Parts: sequence; C-alpha cells; structure tokens
Amino acid sequence: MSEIHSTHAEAQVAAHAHAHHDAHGHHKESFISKYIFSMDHKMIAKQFLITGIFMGLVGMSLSLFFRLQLGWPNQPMPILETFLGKWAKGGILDPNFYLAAVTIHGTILVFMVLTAGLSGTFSNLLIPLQIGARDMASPFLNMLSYWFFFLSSLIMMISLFVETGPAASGWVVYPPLSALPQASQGSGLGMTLWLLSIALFIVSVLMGGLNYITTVVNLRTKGMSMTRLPLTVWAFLITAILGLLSFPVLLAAALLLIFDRSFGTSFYLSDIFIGGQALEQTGGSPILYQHLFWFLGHPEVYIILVPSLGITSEVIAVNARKPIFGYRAMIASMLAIAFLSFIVWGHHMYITGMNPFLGSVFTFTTLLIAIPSAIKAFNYITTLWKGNIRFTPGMMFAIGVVSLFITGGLTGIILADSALDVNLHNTYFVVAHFHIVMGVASMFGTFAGVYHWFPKLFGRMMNNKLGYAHFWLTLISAYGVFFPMHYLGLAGVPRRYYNYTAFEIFNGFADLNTLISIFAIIGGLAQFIFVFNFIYSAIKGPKAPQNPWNSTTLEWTTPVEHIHGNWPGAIPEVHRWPYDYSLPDREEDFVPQTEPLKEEEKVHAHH
Amino acid sequence: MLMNILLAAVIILTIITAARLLKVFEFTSILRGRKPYDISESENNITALMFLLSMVGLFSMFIYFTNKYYNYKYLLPPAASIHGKEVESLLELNLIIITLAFFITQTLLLWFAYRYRYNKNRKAYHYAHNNTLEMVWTIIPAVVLSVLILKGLIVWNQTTRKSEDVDKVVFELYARQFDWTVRFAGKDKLLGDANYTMISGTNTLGLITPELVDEQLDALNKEKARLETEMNEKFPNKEKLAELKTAYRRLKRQLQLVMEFKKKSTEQPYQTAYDDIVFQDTIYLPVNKTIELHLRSQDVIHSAYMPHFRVHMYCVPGVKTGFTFTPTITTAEMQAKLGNPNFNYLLFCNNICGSAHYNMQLPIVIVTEEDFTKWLNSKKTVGEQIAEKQGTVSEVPSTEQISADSTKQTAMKIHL
Ligand code: HEM
Ligand SMILES: [Cu+2]
Ligand SMILES: [Cu+2]
Repeated sequence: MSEIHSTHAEAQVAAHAHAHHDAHGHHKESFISKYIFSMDHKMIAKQFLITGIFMGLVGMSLSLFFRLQLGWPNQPMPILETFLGKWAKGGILDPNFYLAAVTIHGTILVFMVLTAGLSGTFSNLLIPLQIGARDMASPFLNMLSYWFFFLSSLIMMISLFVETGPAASGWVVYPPLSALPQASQGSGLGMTLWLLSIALFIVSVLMGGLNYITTVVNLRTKGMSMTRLPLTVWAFLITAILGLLSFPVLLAAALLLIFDRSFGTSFYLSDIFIGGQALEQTGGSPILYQHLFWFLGHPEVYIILVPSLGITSEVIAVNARKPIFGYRAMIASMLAIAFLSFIVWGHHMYITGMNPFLGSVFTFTTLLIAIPSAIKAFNYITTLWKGNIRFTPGMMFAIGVVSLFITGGLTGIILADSALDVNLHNTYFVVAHFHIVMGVASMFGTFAGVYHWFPKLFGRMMNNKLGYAHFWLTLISAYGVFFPMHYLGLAGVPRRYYNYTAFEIFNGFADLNTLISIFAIIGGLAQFIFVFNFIYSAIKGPKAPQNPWNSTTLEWTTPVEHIHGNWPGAIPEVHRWPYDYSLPDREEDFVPQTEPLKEEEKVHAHH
Repeated sequence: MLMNILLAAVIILTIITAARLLKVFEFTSILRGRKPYDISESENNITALMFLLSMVGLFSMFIYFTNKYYNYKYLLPPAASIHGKEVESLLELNLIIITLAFFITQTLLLWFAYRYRYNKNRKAYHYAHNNTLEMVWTIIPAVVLSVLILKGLIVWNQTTRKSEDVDKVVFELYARQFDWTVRFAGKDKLLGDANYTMISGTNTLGLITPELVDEQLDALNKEKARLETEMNEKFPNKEKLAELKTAYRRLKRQLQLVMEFKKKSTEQPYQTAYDDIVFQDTIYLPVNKTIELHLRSQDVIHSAYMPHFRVHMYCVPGVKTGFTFTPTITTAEMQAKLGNPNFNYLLFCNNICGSAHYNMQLPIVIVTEEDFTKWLNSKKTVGEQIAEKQGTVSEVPSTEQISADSTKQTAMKIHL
C-alpha cells in the first residue's frame, strides 16, 4: 500500500510535521505501531474499513445461504454442505441454522458493517482532515475503539463455530426466546457470545463517539466555524451524539438479559413453562426488553443512515459542481431527524399489547419524521438541477442513495400508521422497507465514500470501469431483490420463515421467491468486482493527484502520501464555507476553503 | 476434493488474468495521453443515458409487479372484518399518495441526472438556497401527512375500541412451541382460571378446577419421588446431577404453588373452567358477531396473525393481550367470491419463536351463527371431560349433545 513507498518527499514532510506538532516525537515507527496498534486516524480508518469489508462479505454470504433455501426450498444444494457442513447435511439447510443465519446476517450488517465499518472509517478519516486537525482528540482512545470493535467482530465470528450454533432469535434477540437455551439451540453458548460481542461493540462505539464529538467541537482550525463545516462532518457529529445517547441503553438491555440468563433474575421473564418445567422466574416483562432495545434500535437506524446522507451531500455537491442546496436546512433537518428518532421507538411495538393511546402518540411522532426526510430529498434533487454533473462511481452511488432513500422512506409512511402496521408488522413489507431505506441506501453511501475518498485512503485511484459495472449490477439487483418484497408483505407473507410449502395461500409466490434469490446471487457476485477493484487499486492503482475531484474541502490540501499530523506545514486557515462551486464571476469552478474572501465577496457571503 | 482444488485454481487464475488485463488497459490509456481515471465526455454521456434508462427501468418494474401481483389472486382478498374494511381503504389512500410521490421525485431525480450531465461549454448554476422553495416542500408534505395522521388515528381508534357488546363470543388462543390451543369461554362468557404451574401433558392450558388440582398434585408428588431416587443414585456425571437439582428445585416450588390453589379452593371454588371448551384444530367463528380474542403464551413470544381479518397481536408469556373484531364474510361466501373452493382463512404465528416457527398454523372457518352454535355444542366441555374420566356424574349441567353430522367436524384432540 501507499505507505510502503516511503519516498524522500514523505521523509521531508514528516520532518516538517514534527516542527509544528511535537506530540509525535519519535522518528522511526515499528511495523506494529504503524500498521497494527496505530494511533494515526488515517490508519485506524483503514483498519475499520478493511474489517468492515471482511465482515460485510461474511454477512452477505450468510444471506446467500438462506436465500438459496428460500428460493429453492427443500432442494438439495451441495454448495451449502461444502460451506456449512453439519448445518446442511445432504445440502438441505437446517431450520435452526436458517434462523441463525438470518440473525447473524442482521447483526453483522447492522452493527459491524453499517455502524462500525461506516462511521468508523469515515468519521476517522474525514473529521480531522476536513476540520483541519492533526489527529483525533485522543488517538489512544481511538486505537482502543478499533481494537474493541475487532474483538467484538472476532467473537461474533467465533460464535458461528460453536457446537450448538450461533444466536438464532433474530437480530433483535427478543427474550424469552433468546434467554432460554431450552427454547432454541442458539440461545446457549451462541447467545452468550452474541451478548459479549455486542457489549464490546458498544464500548467501541462509545469510545469512538466521544472522540468524534470532542474533536469536532475542539479541534477545528482557525476560521472553521460550525457553519463552515462540510455536511459530512455535521453528519458524523450528529451520528456520534445519537450513538452516545442510545447505545448505553442497549448495554443496559443486554446486561439485564445476561442477568436473566445466568443469574436467575427475572427482568424479562415471567410465568414460563418450558421443557416440562415451570420456571421460577416471575414478575418480569419481555416487553420491557423491547422498549429498551428499540430505544436504541430506532436511533440506530439513523446512526446507520445519517453518515451516508452526509457523504451523499458532499459527493453530490462536488460532482454536480454546485453548492449543496439549502445547507442550513440540511443541518436543521438532520438535527430534527436526530431529535425525533428518540421519541418514535414504539412504532416497532404497536401490536405488543401496548396501550392504544400510546400507539397513537408514536404514530404521530413517527409521521413527523417524514417531513425533515422529505426536505432532504428535495434538497438533493435541487442540487442536481442545473448542475454540470460528472459521473464518477462515487457520484453514481450517491445518486443511488437518494433514489433508495426516497423509495424506502415512502413505505415508512405506511408502516408508521399503527392501523396499517397491524397487518404489515413482521411481514416482508417491513423487510423491503428497511433494506431499501437503510440497508442498501447506507451501503450505497459507504460505496460512494470509498470511491470518492479512496485517493485519500490509499493515495491511488480506483478503476472507473469496474466501478460502473459494480454500480449498475448492484443497483439492479438491489431493486430486484427488495422491490418485489413489498407485494409479498401486502399478501401477508411472514418474515423469518424457513419455507412456505405448508401454506397454500402463498403458493403463488414460489416463482417470485426464486427470482428474488437469483437477483441476490447476482448482487452478491457483483460485490467481488468491488473487492477486486479495491485490493488491486490499493496496491497497483494509478497514483492519485493531490485534488482529483477539484474539491474545496481541506482534506485535499494534504499531501497524497500519508504523514503523521496530516499537513507538513502549518494547518491551513479557513476563510469560506465548503460549497463555493461555480461561482458566477470566477474563471475556475471551485474555490478552496483556504482561499481568503475577496472584498466584494464579503458582502454576499453565505456564511 | 479434487473439484474444490480445481475450482480454487480457476478462481485464482481468473483474478490474476483480470489484474493483468487491467494493467494493460491502464497502460494503453496512458499511451493515448489520458490518465486512466479520467472520464471522457462520451463516457459521461453514456452514464447519463443509463440513468435515464434506469428511470424507465424503475417505473417499468413498478408497473410490471403491480400489474402482476396487485390483485386478489396474489394479495389478500377483501378484508373480512368491520375494522379491516377501514384499514383496507386507508391503505389504498396511502398507497396512492406514496406512489404519486415516488413517481414525481424519482422522475425529477433521474431526469436531472441525465439532463444536467457534464458539458464543457456550460457552467453549473451557483444556487445555494431559496427560502420560498424550501417552505413549499416543507408545507406540502406537512399538510399531506396531517391528513394521513388524522385518518390513521381515526381508523386506529376503531380498530382498538373495546366492545360493549354483551352478546360477544369470547375465545382464547394459547401459544407454545409450536402449536396453538384454542379455548372458547362457554356459557358464562368467562375464560376459566388457569395458571402455568398447572400445565401438564393432558392439561395444556393449565386450567384450574378442584379435580385438576388434585391430579396435578398427585403427578408432581410422583415426579418428586422419582427425582429424589434418581438423585440419590451414584452420579458420575456432574452436569446431569446439576440438571436434576435444578429440576428438583423448580418442581418443589411448583408443588408449593399448586398447594396454594388447593388451599384456596375452599373459599374460591374454581368453577369457571368447567364450561370452557378446549381443542387444537380448526377454529369456527360466527359471522357478524363481536369476537373477543384473548392471547397468552406458555414459553416465548409468539404472534397470532389472522391477516384476512387484519388481526395481529403478540402472545407474551406472563402478559395478557387481546384483540376484538367482527368477521363479516363467511368462508363459503368468500370461496364463492374468489371462485376458489379451497380458500380458507388462516391463523399463523408471526413472531420468531424457534426452529419450527414456520409451521404453526390453524385454519379458521367463518360460519353463520346457527352453525357456530351447533358446532360449539358438539364439542365436549372441560367439565364433561373430567366427569367422563372420573366415571362419575359431574355437578356441572352437561350441554345437550348435537349430532355430529351438522358440522364438518374433524377428529377432536382434546388434551384432557
Ligand atoms: C419516513 C421515515 C420513516 C418512517 C416513517 C419509518 C417507519 C417505520 C416503522 C413504523 C417501522 C416498524 C415496522 C414494523 O416493524 O412493523 C419501521 C421499521 C424499520 N425501519 Fe423505518 N421508517 C422510516 C425511515 C427509516 C429509515 C431512514 C431507516 C434507516 C435508516 C429505517 C429503518 C428501519 C428498520 C431497520 C426497521 C425494521 C427493524 C426490524 O423490525 O427488524 N426506517 N420503520
Ligand atoms: Cu424505527
Ligand atoms: Cu412462531
């Protein structure tokens, strides 16, 4: 990778950096301190990204396994036995492992990939670079944050190999199913490891989040006021705050579940008769767990989406050569979404027996979220209007995010309505909704980020042609997989079913399920184009110029080769907002943030 | 094994070849005086055109799927309950609105992507904000959403309203891994007392009557004795011993709790369960009557989903939940309506509950009130079952027997 090519230039700039930044006093770094226990935010970003990609491939493979089962039920698939061994004897997937695959797929994608992989990579890479800081406020905490995440991923992986299988009670792990090994094989050792992994994960998120917030608040360079921050940084800041406020609640939920499982308490358990025995626990409520879980769970979906929206804002503005439309409205709507996301969790629980009046309140607050969401969508669209659009792969993925965000957000309006949700809850309609709006949209945001900032990550360019192929195949298969699921859901087809062969009313959908699986396989294979492009370009790709996209933001003022402390000389000062693209009275179509305002500009300046 | 090695070899070769090709490709573009990552204008135009095509593709997909699947052949038939009708028209209104929004916004997005593709003779229009525009697209969604919220809440209130109807049918679904037990409340319209400590192989619901309490005490005491002897044997296996100890501890506690029922039965006679009717197969319900559904669970969370009636509610261990609704179309009428003589209403589990979650269903048959009464009367009550078993005449007035031919009754599996 680029660091390996240690050039003269790098040595020189590094020497320079020390003059200005004596916190990095040592000259020779060992392999371990540079690549493994690194405290440099750029290296940590790469660690998050690569771990995230690996976990993403694992999560994706699991989904292909269960899609094979759903697309061709009861048909032996030797490939399943090759990969899964005893869980697919004779090529037929075991029903327990089917549920385990669904569970671990969801967990890995939601937490390891779209939370850590996404925020971890881009908050780490971009916050210091875009606000003009030499590193994170606490590089040490930052390093710990990665290693806790690594441990957490490792434990989740180990849980795939235990004798009784990994957790198998859905990614939401509702007790009592998740609390009682008698109720499900996966609720034994597999569940213990799941809880351990998630607990470590939460520690990682908290350390990361504290760092991101502190850094944004304290380490902005001279002139970088809050209203001159690129929207990416705003998005990462809001995401970190959401995480800091909501993840501790999940930790509490998990802790109480651990108590119920191991120490005989009854927070979530009451009046249970199972395996021929009447359990001793009484007085708890399984619904309490759901309240705690979704108090995190709903903000979590925005923790996943908001960074992608931030990346999208930036990438669209740069490649449309226009300022993002309604900069302040974009910030305000992100803040509104973040605030509202704490008072809507009950929309996941309309039919748990909660008081109908409470259901009404949650319907009201949930539908309110659609307003700031709509503002964002319209602002993206207006940003494209009269632009001069350059279709880099990053830009293509960013436009994809907007399309998916709209499609998936609209079905949210239906689910938000408690009266309608009664019949749609836990059907494929919900699966369609959240995969499109969160899963795929956020995945697209991640890709947009990788293609766009690859030159900053590895000092090299990715291949465009492969990027195009990756984009179109992924877009087509994403819609091909998830769009038809709406109709399944409207027909009442339940999710998390091993097969539907016993249900005559769903017989008509057998073909559709096969089609969905075919799209899933195409989409899955398409990701290898990305992986290949990623690895190839990181090692052999053409060297990146300093500012490949003619961008205004600070990260492109740093040298291509990574150096400790980011800028060889003094940290640049900022004089304007980040969206001065295509100013009418200018020759060039972008003005870097570092360029001082001209006299006449001072009057008209936006900020 | 050989196949796998071969496969791996092929994959590796493909990767190496791809990498080589890429290098060659990059080299030729450098020779042509271009940077390999530059995007030429013609290339950019092709992408723009593809975005335009993707709009056509997106809309075609929407139309194709809607045309094919949005009909009674595939989707749920017309809602068969009073509140279900309201839900159905609310859903339609919502679907129309979001479909409109979908078409408008996607058209704008993808058209702009195409229309404003890069052109070296043009400069983008520096347009940073416009308060009027932004107000417009704040207010329009807000107004539309207000309408949807209001309509939604009205329907929600209808759906969840408690019925004052005295002439209602009360029945219970009791969920466990992996089946349903059905119970009708009988003449007194009260579901008799039940408790999870009373559950046994024959008393799936854990009903409480004096006879059943005695029976349970007897069974538990026997089990206790059995555990004691087993524990006193020499046990090389520590795990097994720990398991036995846990079982023993739980059993002793259960015994204590059942003893409480025994003691209490002097002041509280536990009579309400006698006229209940318990079974585990096809559920019959009368048309146009208020149905009060009660839900409980024995082990984990299940969910009683009856999509044709727009009824769906969790069954939560330790918590009582329920749903009140009124069926409006009999099974025979619906079969005629759909031209499908095999049509059946269905109850199934819709919350992940373990390995056989996908196999927890019961058919529901909606019949006239008359037929329903006949069918119900043909079932034995709990009291009758107990009396039969004990070979004595019970004090409970036995319901008149109706000849079984009047209803399509399948084999009864009464767990008593
Ligand atoms: C207009 C905005 C949105 C509304 C009104 C909305 C509404 C809802 C509702 C009511 C549900 C519960 C459905 C059910 O379980 O029965 C739901 C599920 C879900 N939504 Fe949204 N949503 C919106 C946007 C989003 C966004 C932006 C994301 C993610 C970034 C998201 C992610 C999810 C997820 C992950 C679930 C399902 C979780 C599960 O059951 O496993 N939603 N949404
Ligand atoms: Cu939510
Ligand atoms: Cu179930």
